[in-house]
Amino acid sequence: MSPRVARVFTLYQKEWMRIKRNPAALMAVGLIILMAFLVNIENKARKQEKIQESQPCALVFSTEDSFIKHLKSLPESQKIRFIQTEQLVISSTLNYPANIRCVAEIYPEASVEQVMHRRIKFRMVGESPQLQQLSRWVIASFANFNAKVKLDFSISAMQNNTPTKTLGNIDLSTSGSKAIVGAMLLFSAQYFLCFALFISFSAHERERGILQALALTATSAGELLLSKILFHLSLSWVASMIIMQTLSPYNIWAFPANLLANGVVILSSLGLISVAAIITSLNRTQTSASLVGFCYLMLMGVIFALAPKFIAFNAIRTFMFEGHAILLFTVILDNFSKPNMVKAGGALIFLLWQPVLLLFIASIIWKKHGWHNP
Amino acid sequence: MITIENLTVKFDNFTAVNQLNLHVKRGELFGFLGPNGAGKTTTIRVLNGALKPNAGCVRISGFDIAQQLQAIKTIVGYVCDTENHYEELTGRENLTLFAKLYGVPSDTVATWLARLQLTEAADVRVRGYSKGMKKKLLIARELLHQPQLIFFDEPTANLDAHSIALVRKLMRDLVAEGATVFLTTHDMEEVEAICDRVAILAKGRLLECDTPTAFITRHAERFCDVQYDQNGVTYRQSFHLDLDADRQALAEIVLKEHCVRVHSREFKFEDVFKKLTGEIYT
Repeated sequence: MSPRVARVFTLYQKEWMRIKRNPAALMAVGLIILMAFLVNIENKARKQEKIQESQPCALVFSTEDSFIKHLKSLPESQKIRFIQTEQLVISSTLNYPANIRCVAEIYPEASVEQVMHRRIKFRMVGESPQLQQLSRWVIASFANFNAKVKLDFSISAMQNNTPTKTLGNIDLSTSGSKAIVGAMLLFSAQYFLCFALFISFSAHERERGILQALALTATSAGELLLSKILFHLSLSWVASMIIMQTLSPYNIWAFPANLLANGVVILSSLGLISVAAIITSLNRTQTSASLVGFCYLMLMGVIFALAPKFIAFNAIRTFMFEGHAILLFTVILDNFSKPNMVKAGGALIFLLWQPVLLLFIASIIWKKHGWHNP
Repeated sequence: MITIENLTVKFDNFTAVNQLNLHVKRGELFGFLGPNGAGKTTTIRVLNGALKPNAGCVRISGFDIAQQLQAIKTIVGYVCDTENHYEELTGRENLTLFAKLYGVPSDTVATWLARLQLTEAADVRVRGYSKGMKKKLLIARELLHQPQLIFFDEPTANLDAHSIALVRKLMRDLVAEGATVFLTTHDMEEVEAICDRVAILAKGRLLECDTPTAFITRHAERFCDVQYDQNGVTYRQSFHLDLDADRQALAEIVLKEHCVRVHSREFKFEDVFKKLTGEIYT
């Protein structure tokens, strides 16, 4: 191993040792991974719930009713959701579960003028094609079950007023929304590991003069920066892969083997590290560097919020790699869905050169100001 | 070992070091003194390569600092005035890190820990060290690679009497082993006790450079303090022995009065320093 490589490796090991002694610094990333896990659970639960909610529904008053038992024994009953209620008088304003499009209210048998009757009321929202299937199946089943009992059925409208469950304005049941939330979580983890942690560690070293002491050994300023880049890149890559796999846990090698996913993670991390290196180099104290880092985040938020409405902000956003990285993360997590692919191509072109340019600028500033005592 | 020619360092309109010329010989303990803001630390920063001068030339062991900084780094050690360690790491881990960066064997770490009496605390995190221990760890760190030239910036500040003696002995031992020590301190007693030669700097300019003894000989002012009784009242008077009138007055008192106490005042290096720098600042 050449002395230069050995020195970079020693400094890289030193960074790991520091984080090992101060694991609480990674707590925020742990929380982000936990959030990814929760998003995944919510996504699955919502999908299942939606499938169930969209099934035709049979409202019954007793599961011991022989006709209900007969219906349940039929193979088609798998596609019907049976809901039991004790409320004998049902009005059209009954608060049905969300997303139910049609329902068959099957009342118990009753004697009317010494003739046995069974009343079935079909309700629907708008024009539901499910209604035809449901009514045919219920009526035909009843005819087969007991032809002696008179069947009264009617059709009326249903008020379905339960709102769909949402997180803000995002419905987590779709893969697209899950991808957007996932991309935000990924970027947050990268921001923390490559930006906030870089500033925290390096500005502290710089303010105390440790970087200068290191640079006065045989180590060069470039080697110092390289070891830091490798450390923060490693952390960011590991965290990003864990978050991606947590969001899509079906294939364990889906993301580590995905060239584009790796490329975007590395490039966006490099971009964030570069900005952090510039901020660290130009600030005298850890406090001011952290403050500027926070302001950068706020500024980024303002630009992204105003970009859709103002051309100037939109132009600035074009030259911010963060937006392109988030878009590409969304596309990757959404399994390359078509509507985003054209935009993603443009974003990739920007992401290929912007972080590299920033890294070049950062290395120049770092060599001039970054390593020595302010 | 060190040759400084016409060194000038400016911060905007303020001249921190002005046309400094200095030559430090190999194997000497050189004291670099001056009041606060005289330009000592700025000069050391230039000598370390941490600061680029506005003008002048600096050579260390024949290497030009502007052109051959990488070669100089391996032969120089810098014990700065602030303790800059990784506080979350232990003393041994801190030294091992620097040993690896200097490319020296890891057993050197144990040797220096023992030499600075830090073996017992070697595996304690630096966060738990006292200021004095941190200073000693810093000294050990900068001596790991056996540098030919060591800059000590107030090495005995915050140290107890035993540690001060240890560090002073260490500096003398380093010189005996052939290293050159460049010492900056405000402890004039220390300078007088251990320095071979001393340079005094004020307002960025070199005032004088010589041995401490030569300084004292050249600038000593002889005073005599007398205490005598006259009609039951005790008087005290000081006489400058280099002035004829004072000498005559002293002789008269000694002859005529009942002297209780007569003693000459010792002129120390600190008095030389105050005299020289005081002239500049008043």
